[in-house]
Amino acid sequence: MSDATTFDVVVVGGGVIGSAVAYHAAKRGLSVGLFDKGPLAGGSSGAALGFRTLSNFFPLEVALKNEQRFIQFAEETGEDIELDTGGRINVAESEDDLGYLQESVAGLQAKGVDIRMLDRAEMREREPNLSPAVIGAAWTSIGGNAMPIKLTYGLARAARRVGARIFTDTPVTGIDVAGDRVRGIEAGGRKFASGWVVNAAGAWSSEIGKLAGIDVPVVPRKGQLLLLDSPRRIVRHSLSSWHKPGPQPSGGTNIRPTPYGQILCGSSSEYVGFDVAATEENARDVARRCAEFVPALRGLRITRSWAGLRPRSVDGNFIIGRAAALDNFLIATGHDFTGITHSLITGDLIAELMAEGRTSVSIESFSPRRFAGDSGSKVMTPGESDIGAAECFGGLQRRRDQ
Amino acid sequence: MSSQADLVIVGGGPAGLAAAIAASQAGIAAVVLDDNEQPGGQIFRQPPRGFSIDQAAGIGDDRVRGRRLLDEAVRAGVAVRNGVVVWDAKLGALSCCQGEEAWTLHYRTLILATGAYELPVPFPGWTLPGVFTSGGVQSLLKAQRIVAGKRVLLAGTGPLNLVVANQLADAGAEVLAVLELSKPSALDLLPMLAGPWELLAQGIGYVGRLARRRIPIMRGWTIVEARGDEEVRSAVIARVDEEWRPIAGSERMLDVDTVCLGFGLLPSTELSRLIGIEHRYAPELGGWIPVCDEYCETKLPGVFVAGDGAGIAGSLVALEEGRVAGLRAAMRLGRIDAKQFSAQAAPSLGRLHSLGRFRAVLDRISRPRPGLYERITSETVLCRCEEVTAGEVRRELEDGATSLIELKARLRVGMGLCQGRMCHPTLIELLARGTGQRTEDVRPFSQRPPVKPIPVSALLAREEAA
Repeated sequence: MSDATTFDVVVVGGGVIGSAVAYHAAKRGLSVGLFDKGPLAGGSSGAALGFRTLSNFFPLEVALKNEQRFIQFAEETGEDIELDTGGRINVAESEDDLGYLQESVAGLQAKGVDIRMLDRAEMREREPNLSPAVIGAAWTSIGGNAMPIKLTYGLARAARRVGARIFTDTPVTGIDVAGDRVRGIEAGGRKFASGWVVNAAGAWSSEIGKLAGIDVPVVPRKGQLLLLDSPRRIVRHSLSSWHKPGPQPSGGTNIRPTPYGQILCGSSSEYVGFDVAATEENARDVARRCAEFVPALRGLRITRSWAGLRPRSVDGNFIIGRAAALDNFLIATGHDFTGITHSLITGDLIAELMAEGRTSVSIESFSPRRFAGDSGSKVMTPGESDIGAAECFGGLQRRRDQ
Repeated sequence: MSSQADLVIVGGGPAGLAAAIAASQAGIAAVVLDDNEQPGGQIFRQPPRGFSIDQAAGIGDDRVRGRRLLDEAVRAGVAVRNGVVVWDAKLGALSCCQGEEAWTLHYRTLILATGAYELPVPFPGWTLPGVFTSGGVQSLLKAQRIVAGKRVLLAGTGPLNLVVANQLADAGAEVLAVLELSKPSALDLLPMLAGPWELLAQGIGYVGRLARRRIPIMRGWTIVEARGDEEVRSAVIARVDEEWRPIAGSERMLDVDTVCLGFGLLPSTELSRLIGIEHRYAPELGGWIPVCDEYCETKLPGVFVAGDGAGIAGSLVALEEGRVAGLRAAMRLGRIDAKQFSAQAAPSLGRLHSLGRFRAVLDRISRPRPGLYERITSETVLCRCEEVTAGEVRRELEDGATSLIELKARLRVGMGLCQGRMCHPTLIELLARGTGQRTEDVRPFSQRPPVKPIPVSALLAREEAA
């Protein structure tokens, strides 16, 4: 390895997004330096469930091809990312949610998506331990899981094999700005010149933005997980609650069996700054909701609980693209709880933007420039409340219409 | 359900009980929590590493000494709550679980007296049935009256193996030898003459009893392999150099049916790490240990550490540290003033001073040397829960892994039910060697609650009760 201090691309953030950017950029022949203040996957990517769902951020034809990206990555690189393409079950927690679930399923079916409501017998057959009290569930063959930490390391390794350099435990402390361009960064007490700087710092992307004088309206949303030891195979598929858009009291009810006799349960949702302490209250809340779906979980043991910080943008939408005032400072953040699903596509599109000056899929609606006050871009939203986030922003930023 | 206490002590071993007794004498009814089912914690079953361990001079049976401590605790009105797992610790509150019950216990002052567990040191064949830890064998003997085998070899370092060898011989086992890694020189032993005489006598006592039984203590030898199909049948032993590296060509084979491994103890720092106490690396005291002042108080106000959990030092040290911590907590709670503290703690502080000198010698002799981890072959299993071999770990290191979290992500090491207790020390050593880092620069696994697995039902029962 050379001791290069000049890169085509500097990526700030060694999570799943930053690693995907590094991999795709290096694959396109760009010289890449990836920097993180801690280890890889040390933030949100180390505390994610690993769900891969049908994206509602991209047009359906793009979203439907997303699965193929993961299969292709695993095949191309030989990296084991615990890829599961076994489909998913969505569960309604309330009558309200059930109505919305039925409506969503009908809408997707009309567009040809393989998804359908399950009747009682099918629910029992697919998921024998699902509570009889569950009022409705839908099955889709689309999506599944990938192990977030393995995915991050797999991407970083694959990036390294095509020439990227990875700097862990190397905090970026400065960004060199001249006029409307960035010229490089300062990290770990050294200067690195760079043609592009990509801010993929997740929940910390606001801090990194400030180093370049750019406002990145993202706050950390804390989500806590539980890991249960499950010697018996109590749950077969990834299960998650399906909510009507609007305020939600929790971070959703999600259950994922791992291939190793364990079950992941999530998640809580709090805006408490950068505090990642796992709390008993959150653990209980997550356990209670998950046990309502699958009562047999009560008989298991909790071996671990931890929390991560999801990067939540002020309007709930991604922030992907060129910074308003700096042409070669790119932002790739705001993925909230959908980072695994959107990791490869984000990395690919950012790399495309750098290598070719445009993207094959429109990212206009994710543009950071929408916050500059001049955009008429459509704001798309994931199915979750941003009440807390709006409070965090002190009501200064605009809030999504409920 | 939550409750409140002026002083909570986690651990009902010598340090915890001594702390509770001292606090009680100062007028504070401490809540003592211990996860064992029997009162008295580990005192009968888990002797620490120093000569200070197990049997005080003239008593000859730690059971008697433990009984005395327990009786004293009863007289002082100390109640130990057994079977309680403390699974999370924050400043001001502990999360507790007992069977199907869970609750939060709020405290004003806290003494962590969590003790230690045995250092696992892998080598080829160490996972064969018939290979035990010496502490485990002693526990079987003492708690269950079970003799682990008929032809027994002990290997490792430190006095625990000498104690267990005598106990096994008492119980009728044929003890072939005690292999001791270190070769203390006469010069090393000289400062002992200034140490507590009873400890020296006790140490010589163990050695003398082994000599009378014609059980050899083979200094500068260790086990390099355990062999057998279904269970251990033989042991390959070898001479080691000053750095504990096996010397090629010196190997010999012994027919055995049992191997006891005693390589020292590791402090249980799960709770001290969770609560946020600063830790420092002290290999001679068992690795990462909580930082505290001479009165056992950490930088967190009102939070104390005492006994082996604060650095491996043995039960005599634990008793005195526990007493100091108990008195200091009483002072923090305003039950005694600084003058009373000084007067009451003085004898313990004096004894700690003289024990400290003695310990420094043992520390020097038993300090882990690099050769300890060089018997590990590619096929040796490191992570027993997930059955990961050293070869797999080394391959990841060659492939560029630089951190424990990466090894964990790639190989699942440390992901099993033991929560990394078994593989953690070895992984840190292999990672340090593989990446050219110092051992103390390797970032340990993050500590997460629960520090021991707890039932989902207990967590939920609490909510239903509330």
